[in-house]
Amino acid sequence: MSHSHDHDHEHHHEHHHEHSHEHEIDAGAEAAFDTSVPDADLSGTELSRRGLMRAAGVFGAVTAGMAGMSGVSPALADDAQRGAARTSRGPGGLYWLAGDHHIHTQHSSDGMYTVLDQAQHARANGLDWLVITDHGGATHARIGVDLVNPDIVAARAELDDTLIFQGLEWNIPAAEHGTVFVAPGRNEVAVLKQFERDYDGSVKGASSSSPANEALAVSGIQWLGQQVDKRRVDAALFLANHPARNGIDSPHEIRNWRDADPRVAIGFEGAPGHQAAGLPAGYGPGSARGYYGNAPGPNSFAAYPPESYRTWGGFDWMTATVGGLWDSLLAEGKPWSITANSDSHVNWTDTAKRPDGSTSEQFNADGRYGDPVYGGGVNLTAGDFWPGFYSRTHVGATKPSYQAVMRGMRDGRIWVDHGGLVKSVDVRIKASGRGGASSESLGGTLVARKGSDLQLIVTITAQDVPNWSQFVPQLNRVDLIRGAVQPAAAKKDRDLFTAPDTKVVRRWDTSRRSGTFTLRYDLGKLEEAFYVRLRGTDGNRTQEGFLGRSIDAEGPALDVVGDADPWIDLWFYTNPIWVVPRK
Amino acid sequence: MSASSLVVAVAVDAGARDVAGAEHLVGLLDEVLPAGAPSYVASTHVVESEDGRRVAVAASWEPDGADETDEAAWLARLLAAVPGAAAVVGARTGGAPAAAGALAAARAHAARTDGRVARFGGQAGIERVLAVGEVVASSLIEEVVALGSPPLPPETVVDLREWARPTWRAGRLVLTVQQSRDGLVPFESRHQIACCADH
Repeated sequence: MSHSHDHDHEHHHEHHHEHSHEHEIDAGAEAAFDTSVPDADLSGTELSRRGLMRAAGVFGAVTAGMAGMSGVSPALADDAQRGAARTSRGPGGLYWLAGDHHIHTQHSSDGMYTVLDQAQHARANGLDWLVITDHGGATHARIGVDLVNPDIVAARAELDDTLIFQGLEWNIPAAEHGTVFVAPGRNEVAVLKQFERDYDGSVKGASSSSPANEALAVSGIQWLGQQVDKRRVDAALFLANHPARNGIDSPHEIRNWRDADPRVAIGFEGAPGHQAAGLPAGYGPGSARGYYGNAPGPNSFAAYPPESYRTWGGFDWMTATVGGLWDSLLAEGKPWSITANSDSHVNWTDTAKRPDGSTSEQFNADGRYGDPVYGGGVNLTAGDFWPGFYSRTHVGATKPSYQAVMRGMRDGRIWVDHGGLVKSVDVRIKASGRGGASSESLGGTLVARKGSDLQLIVTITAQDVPNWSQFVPQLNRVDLIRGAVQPAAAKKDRDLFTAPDTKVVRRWDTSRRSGTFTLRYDLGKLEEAFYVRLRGTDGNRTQEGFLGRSIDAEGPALDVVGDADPWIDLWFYTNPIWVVPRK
Repeated sequence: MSASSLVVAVAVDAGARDVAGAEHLVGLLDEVLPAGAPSYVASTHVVESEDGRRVAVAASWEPDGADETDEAAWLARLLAAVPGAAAVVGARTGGAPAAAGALAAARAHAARTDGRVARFGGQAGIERVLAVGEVVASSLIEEVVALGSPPLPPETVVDLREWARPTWRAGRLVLTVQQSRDGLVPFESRHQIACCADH
């Protein structure tokens, strides 16, 4: 099956601009990018002033419209009814809504599907929400970001039980890509477009690793927060995508994004998309799972080991390594969430192709390819799955609405799985003692009196319906990971990517469990702040963790390039719960 | 090469933005430097520049005769072969706009602290299917390690037909390999996956 990929050249124009436009950063901003100015000063003075100046052009318009602003746009008015037919409240009294925040369409130079193609597959595959994230770049900033909106609005009307966000895949200056999306509303396109024009690494020629480009990324996240403060949009979120793929998201950059505005920068992909890419040649693309197949390049963070450039059990090394980078962030006591998405561009075994005449010239002129047409063959060289087909990000929302999903993500009420490994996971810590009883669940922080007795209660519903490869996956093991909160270490070293205290403390054999069952663990008496998180697996592929047997005796296995079948290597991961003694 | 030997060391910064560009430069240098000499080592190094990071190339070898140690002559030959590049030969610098990147590459090459090695003694004999023990015995490579794996016994077979690009790690020349469908192959593939191409 051969797909026409002549348009790929366009891509080099869109994404390989590191060399040519370094000087597009306007002179007025240079003071703010002066690397001799400490971060604190940047965020406090220059950057905020710059953000205010940027916003000044639209401030009048916002004021003029204030009388009509209720905080709920017409598009949201019927939110309360959305999804009611498909979902019901689950653990914690929350709606657990499955979604995907990383999906491309014909508005990406390397994509092909319509918005409705993606949305109706997502819905059919069981997703409740999705984010359309076409690549940032010159063409998208010029017209793509406008063109995609009517298609999204139409898809919302067509699939009225599915939440369809508009976002974009940001070329983070000096770093990888990331999802940026906003709550639907009258300014969703305007905010995304202005953000892309002012802060996209490709548009600004700011892709290479430098302090000035890193500062541009930080100011972009702050700018998004300012749009929420001004109520131009009700919410905006940023999540880093495929963070370890090329080693170019350094630990200090990730910390700087998080600290730039924790309401906006909330996490990264624990598992990248392109999960079919490692299927062997003949049956699949024969590449690396997640397309994680590279070696370090000039913009890579030099201290990352070669092992960080591959996925482990389909998950990014930052997340898959117990005691690794994600744990080092959690050990600071600051929230940082993980997600799992499709990154769907062109899907494995699909039978469609781009229409004749789809060239880079045509794409650049029109801002998108024509709608796909029937291709008359099965595409076995594509590396992606349809949204919801393999990767799912489960978000606990108070109701099935746009704002509640974004709120649930910001609150860290997230767990993720591959291949429908488990039907539901509820994690809860209960404290009891002289201070009374209290409890907290996924993403939360339980504050209790020192000396309280702490119990972990995990309620799992095993999978009892087939996944999209038509088998019922078996959860054979669940692991509990615990680590101390030790914020001092990362204060000293912003490039820290280990959490020495974090390790697997309990493994449960769940191979004979079915239906809904409970796992309990005595977390002891509360002395110092700590966190726990969970993961589970079909148990098919494991090896000693990257940091050794004493940390993780049976972790996910390093994925083999050209021979990684994702269906026989399934994992789920949850976000953490923190426990903190009351002062 | 022994520490007492006379060594000619050169470095060139031609503004390469990625490893592939540096590999191209290594190929250009093959034409003007004694790349066939058993002592010849060429390595690529990430260097900082005013407009972002680049990949520069450094090389060294033990000269045959005294006439081969003429630094000015080597510098002139390098600059003629790679127009627009900045170059360093020994203590001599030349070319535009600045030789800071070339100097940094020359220093890293001499110190063997980091960098990937594109030409080294014994390379031609190991770019085939062979045992780890043979790799170490017959080339400049001191160790072969596999990604996420315990140390490899010397009889372990590796397939280096694609190429061999060891890296200096704290002064040791280490070749990293990875498991593939067909056994152990180089961790660094000749063809890196381009961002967003084809997927």
